[in-house]
Amino acid sequence: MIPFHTLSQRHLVYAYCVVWLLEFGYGAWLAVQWRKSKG
Amino acid sequence: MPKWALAWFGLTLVVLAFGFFKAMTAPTEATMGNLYRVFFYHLPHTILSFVFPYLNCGASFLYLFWRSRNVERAAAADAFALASAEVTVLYSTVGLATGMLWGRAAWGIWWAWDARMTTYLLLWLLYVSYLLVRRFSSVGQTAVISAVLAIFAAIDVPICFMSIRWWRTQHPAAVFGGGADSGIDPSMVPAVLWNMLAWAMWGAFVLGLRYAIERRRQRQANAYALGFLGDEGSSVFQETR
Amino acid sequence: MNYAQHVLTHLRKDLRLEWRTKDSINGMLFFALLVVVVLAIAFDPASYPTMTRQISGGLLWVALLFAAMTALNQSWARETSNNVLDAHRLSAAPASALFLGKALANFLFVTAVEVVLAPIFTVFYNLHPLGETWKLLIILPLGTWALVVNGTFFAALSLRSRNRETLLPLVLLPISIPALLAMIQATTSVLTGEFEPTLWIKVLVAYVIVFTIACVLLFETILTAD
Repeated sequence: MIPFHTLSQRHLVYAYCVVWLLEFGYGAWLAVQWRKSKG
Repeated sequence: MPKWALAWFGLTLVVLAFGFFKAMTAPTEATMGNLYRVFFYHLPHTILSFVFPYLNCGASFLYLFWRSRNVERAAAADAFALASAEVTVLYSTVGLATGMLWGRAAWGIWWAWDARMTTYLLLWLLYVSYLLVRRFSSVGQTAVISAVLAIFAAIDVPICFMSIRWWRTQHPAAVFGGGADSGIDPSMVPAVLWNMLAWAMWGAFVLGLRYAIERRRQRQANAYALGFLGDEGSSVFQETR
Repeated sequence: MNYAQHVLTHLRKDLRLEWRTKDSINGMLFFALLVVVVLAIAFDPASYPTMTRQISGGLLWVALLFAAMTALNQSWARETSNNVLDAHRLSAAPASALFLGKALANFLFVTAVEVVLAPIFTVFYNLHPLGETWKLLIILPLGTWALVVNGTFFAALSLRSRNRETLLPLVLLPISIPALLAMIQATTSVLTGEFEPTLWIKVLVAYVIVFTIACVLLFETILTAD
C-alpha cells in the first residue's frame, strides 16, 4: 500500500514522516505547555 | 482558547490535509519518479524558515526600543522574539532533514557545501545558539542579550549567503526566478501553493500559541516576584524555556 | 579625556595585567603549538606538499581560532573580581571605549601568537608560499580582528551565564563562519598561488566594518543588561 521497495520510495516516506513528527510533535508539546500554564 | 484560534486551527488542519492530497496526486516527475514529492514539503519549509528569523529580528529591535519606554510592550516583543526563534529552528530542522533525505536518494549525497546549504545550516546553528543563550543566561539579562544576538544573526545570514555563493554552487539551479532552466511544470504549481499556504498557516498558529504560552509564563513570573513584596501570588508553573 | 584616550587607557590596563602574568599568551601559544603537532600526525606534510599547501590555511586558522577562544573567556574574567564591572558601568566613560580597548588588547595577544606560530607552521609543514606572501600582512591582521572583535563582544555577552565556556564557541562559531571562510580562502590562495585573494580580502574588509560598527554600537546595551 505504501511503496517501500526502493531507496527513493523509502526516503519519500521517511521525509513525510519526519515532517509530521517534528511539526505535530512540537504542536503536541505546546498543547501540554498550554495546559500546564493554566495552573 | 478563543474561538477564532480554534477555528484557525481547524482550518489549518483542513488545508494541510488538502495540501497532502494535492502533493500525492500531482503528476509524476520524469527523472525522479515519486521522490520529487518531498519538494512539496521541503520548499514551503525552507522559504518560511527565512521569514521567521526576520520576525525575530524585528521583535528584538522592538524589544530594545521599548525596553525603557513601555515595559509591557517590551515584554510582548520579547515573547514574540522567543516564539519566532523556536519556530525558525523547527522549520529549518524540517528543511534540513527533508533536503538531506531527498538529496541522498536523488543525487547520492547527504550533503554538499554549496552556498544555499551552508547558509541554511548556518541559519539553523545561529538560531539554536539563540535558544541556548536564552536558556543559559542569567534571568534578568536574557531578553537584552538574546535581542542583541538576534540582530547579529540577522546581519550574518545574508553575508554568509553572498560569501559562500562566490565560493561554490552545487545546489540545483534555482527553481523559481533562476536561469533558463528554472520554473516547474505548471501542473505542479497548485500543489506547491496549497502546501505553502498550509505550512504558513500552521506556522502562524504555532507561533501564536507559543507566544501566548510565553506571555502567560511572564505574567506568572511577575506575580511570583510580586509575591515577595507581600501580595498573594498565584501558583507558579515552571519556566518552559 | 577624549574617546581615543579612554580606549588607550583600557588598552594599557589590559596589556599591563597580561604582562604581569603572561597567562593568556602562554596558554594560547602552547595550545596552538599542540594543535599544529597533532594535525601533523593526522596527515603527512612532507610527502604531500601540494595537499599540505591546500589545507594549511585552514589548519592555521583553526589552530588560531581555538587558541583565541581560550584567551577570550579569560579576558573578561579579570573584570568580574572586585566589582570592577560595576565600576565600569557606573563610570561616565563611554562603554564602547572599554570594549575597543579590550578588543585591541586581545588583538595584540593573538597577533603575538601568530608571529610565533607562523614560522613554526612553515617549518613543520615545509610551507613554501607560491603566491604573493606580502598579502599575508593584510590578511592575517584582518582575519584576526574579525575573530577578536566578535569574540570579545560575545565573551562579554556570556559573562554572567552558566556554562560560560561552552556558550562562547556555540555563539561565536556560527557568526564567524563568513569571516572564517574568507580568511581561510585568502590564506590558501596565497599559499597555493592558484587564485587571487582579492575577493576574499574584500569580504573580510566588509565583514570587519559591519561587525565592528555593530559591536561598538551594541556594547553599552549588553554591559548595562540588567
